[in-house]
Amino acid sequence: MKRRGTPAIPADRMMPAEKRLIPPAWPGGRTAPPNREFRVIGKRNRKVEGLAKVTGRAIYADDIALPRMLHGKLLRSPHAHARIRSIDVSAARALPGVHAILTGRDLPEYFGIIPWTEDEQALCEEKARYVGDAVAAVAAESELIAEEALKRIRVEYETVPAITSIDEALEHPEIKVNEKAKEGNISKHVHLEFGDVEAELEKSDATIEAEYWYEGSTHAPIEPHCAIGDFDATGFLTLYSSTQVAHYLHRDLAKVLGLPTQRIRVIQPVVGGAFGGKSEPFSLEFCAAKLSMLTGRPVKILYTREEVFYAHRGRHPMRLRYRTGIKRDGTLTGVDAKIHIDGGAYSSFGLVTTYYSGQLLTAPYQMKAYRFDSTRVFTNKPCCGPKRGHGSVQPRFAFECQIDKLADAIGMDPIEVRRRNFLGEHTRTVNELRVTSNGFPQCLEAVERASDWKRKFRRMPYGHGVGVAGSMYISGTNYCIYPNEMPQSGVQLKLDRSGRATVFCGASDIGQGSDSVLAYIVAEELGLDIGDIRVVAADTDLTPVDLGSYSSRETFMVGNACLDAARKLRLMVAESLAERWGCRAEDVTLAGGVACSTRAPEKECMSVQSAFQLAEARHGTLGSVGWYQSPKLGGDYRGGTIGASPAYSFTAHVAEVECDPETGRVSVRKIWVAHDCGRALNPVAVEGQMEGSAYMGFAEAIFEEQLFKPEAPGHGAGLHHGPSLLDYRIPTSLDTPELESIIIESVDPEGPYGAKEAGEGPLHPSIPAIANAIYDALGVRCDRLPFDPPRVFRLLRSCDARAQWERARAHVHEAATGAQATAERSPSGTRAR
Amino acid sequence: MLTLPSFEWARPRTVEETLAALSDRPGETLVVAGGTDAVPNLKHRLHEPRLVVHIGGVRELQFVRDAEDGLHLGALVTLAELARHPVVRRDFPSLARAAGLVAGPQLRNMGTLGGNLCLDTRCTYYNQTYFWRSALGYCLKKDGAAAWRRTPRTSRRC
Repeated sequence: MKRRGTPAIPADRMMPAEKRLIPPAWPGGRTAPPNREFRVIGKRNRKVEGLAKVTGRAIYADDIALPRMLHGKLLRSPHAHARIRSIDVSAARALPGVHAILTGRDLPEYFGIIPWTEDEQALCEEKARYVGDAVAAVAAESELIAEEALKRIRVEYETVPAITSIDEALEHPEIKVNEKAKEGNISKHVHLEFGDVEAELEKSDATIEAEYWYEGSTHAPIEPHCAIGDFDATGFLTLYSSTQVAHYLHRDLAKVLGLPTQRIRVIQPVVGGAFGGKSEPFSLEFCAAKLSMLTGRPVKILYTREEVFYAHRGRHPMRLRYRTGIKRDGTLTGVDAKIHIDGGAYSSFGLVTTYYSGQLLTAPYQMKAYRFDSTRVFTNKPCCGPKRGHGSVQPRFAFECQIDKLADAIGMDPIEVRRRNFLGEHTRTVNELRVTSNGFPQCLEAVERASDWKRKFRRMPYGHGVGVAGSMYISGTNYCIYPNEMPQSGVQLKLDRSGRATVFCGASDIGQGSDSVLAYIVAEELGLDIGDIRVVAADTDLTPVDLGSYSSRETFMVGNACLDAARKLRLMVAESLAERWGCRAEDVTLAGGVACSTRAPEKECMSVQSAFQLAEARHGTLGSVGWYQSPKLGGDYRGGTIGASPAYSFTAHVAEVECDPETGRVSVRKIWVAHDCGRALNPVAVEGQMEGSAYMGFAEAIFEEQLFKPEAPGHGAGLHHGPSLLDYRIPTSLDTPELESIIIESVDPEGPYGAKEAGEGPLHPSIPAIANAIYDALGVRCDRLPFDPPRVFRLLRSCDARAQWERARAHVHEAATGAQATAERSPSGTRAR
Repeated sequence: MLTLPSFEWARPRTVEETLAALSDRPGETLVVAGGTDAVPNLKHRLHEPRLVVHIGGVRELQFVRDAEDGLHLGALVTLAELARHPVVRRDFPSLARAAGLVAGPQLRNMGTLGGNLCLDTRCTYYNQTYFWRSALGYCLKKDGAAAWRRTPRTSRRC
């Protein structure tokens, strides 16, 4: 990749490989419990912040009201593509109650989450690139006055033709959406090939070539973005923000505002959902800070729901063409993918998205050869970015449908095809990703059994069907967003004579439960009650750096850092007790609030609080630090580190649908989700993530569609179809199918107690499992999302669905009869009773 | 957050007081009962009244009376009440069912029968923020000169 902006670390300043940080190894490894058995880990505990949330006591960003606080509002462009000729703010400035107004010239510095593609400004200076792009900001005594001021700002626009689709972007390089693009409207292009794809495809007995379309979707978190900037007289800025990446925000604030990082404090209050939609800096954070710097008063900006749709960074629309082959015995041969990605107006994480669209497909199935060619383009629409399952949900949908079609082509059960192509554990993928633990076969088996697959697949009446799909996802990535060799996660732990432990960590809990994970680990290691642990998180003044909540990294990386810190303290306490009792430190147990020796627990025993006091007397004030840095991973080729993760999670779904052949309405009855999360640190939290993921995938499959209006008299192309939760429909509890979560524990050798991710992986198979179930039910292939009644109805009308359905059944039944005959010949005595 | 515009606020207690309040500023007054439609519309600047008359406290309008000549319903009967009222369910089951199908439980608890019957236009081109409508070029129904139709060939209404 060509590097611009922030350069990589020069080779002569790189740490020699042997001096690279390597996390300490603990006796028995990271997977073992501290005292023979787990007391906290694996138990169905509460989340630490749960009660505060359900009783209304949790403080979200918008709950914060500082003395003398002003309110900010942003003026947004009504045009999808327009040069800004002039901005006249005089009438707005004259309005009583208005304290400051910003335009693009006040914050000219470019920023962007990926240092090589910094192409955004807090406020557009030269050009607005989508309907809703921010062009000015006002701070006033109230929101109402700020809004009134916005109406008085005169912006003279010169409209430019808007590019609103992938094809337009490619066909019109002369209309440049984003001037930072090196070539036309290309945001990023990646072409990678592993093995000889054509030769492998030649060996196939059947090949399928098909095109898929994923319409974009957005996160729709309950809490809109909110930020409060507070610049004090000493020149120190405090910014409260509903973010999931306090550390990156900290860096970009310094860059854009021209302040030293040591003069900025970023605090993340309780966040009401993010799903990837708050994983980079946004206009409101810079504007709230700058307006506070200008006025000397705190300034709050809270986005409306409409503005959340414009801030977006949701799932990219993708057009995916796949050519895949299979042999008669079910072995997959070559995979060839050509992908076009609609990125919207800016880069965001686009560089990574483009790689992920290809790199994350290579497990859990063995591929002999694989090629992908992915192109992300700029269009005049709100910028796309990472949404739960970043970059890989769309290709996974296409590929799992391909597998289903291939299985159909050779008349084999699609679960069997997946089983036969299992990649294995402790191995490498075709693109050189290192895979450690892998519980995918157990996931498949679990959903096959739980769903009663064998009795349902190709055996239910017309309109009823089941479908299967599998996937893998990363547990954090070793590709750090800016080049550095410091730990990816740090934890400080404080223990004192009160018997209480405080964990300080930069980790960002956005509802997924990272605060809880920290508390569980400390409780397990130090023998404390979960309630005796206080977690201080995501405050750049108080907590050591953690890179934030993205790419499913928190449990794995923060968990490992915390395990480290807790084991160091545990050792200090155990040594103090061992000295007192004259035993070995390994013979000391800390559990359930009691410290004792294993050889004479009745005699050699005291409360953990007394044990801490003993340790404090022996070692001085008690504290420890822990950190995590992933091993050097990834293939030796350009982009080979993108997608490389210290561990991968695996998932399988079976979805059961009931479809109305008259109207095309699809009702998803139930989804069985089996997920290999390594070890469930708290099974309830893992199940919550699995259900939430399956729900979100289901929503994208059936409901969600981020659409924009074409050109019409009165307006140009690119207006959001309806930026509200009334028009952009997400399923309610009444729409949601029954979900059954089955946890598979493969115990990863490098995860904290063996844990891997659970927050994003379980989303992936939802969409293809439903698509495949619709085929089983109706005999039509849904290759375009969402599967809403008009689309399914049109598919039903476009072919003889019923005949296709009959054919698919006959095909599998023939194959099954053969297999059954073999099974019946085997001795009946071996059957389980 | 979407703001409400500034307006004066009247809270009559009787029908008589209500009529007096309504005749005070003809053409510049908005009646609010449950507010489930009127309040979002105010936030969207679809209405910019000088005076908002809140009739939620007018007890005379809160009744369900089963009489010889039929069922009498006050304008302030909520949709939730309508959906679960034993007489309505017995004698007018389709009305009870229809009331029970409107929106969600919270909106049915607030929304009134009178408000439902007097509901303003519902359209994806209309029920949007001021900013969105300005980006659209406005609609005939509010601030604009041209009518938007979702399905121009099949629908004659907007």
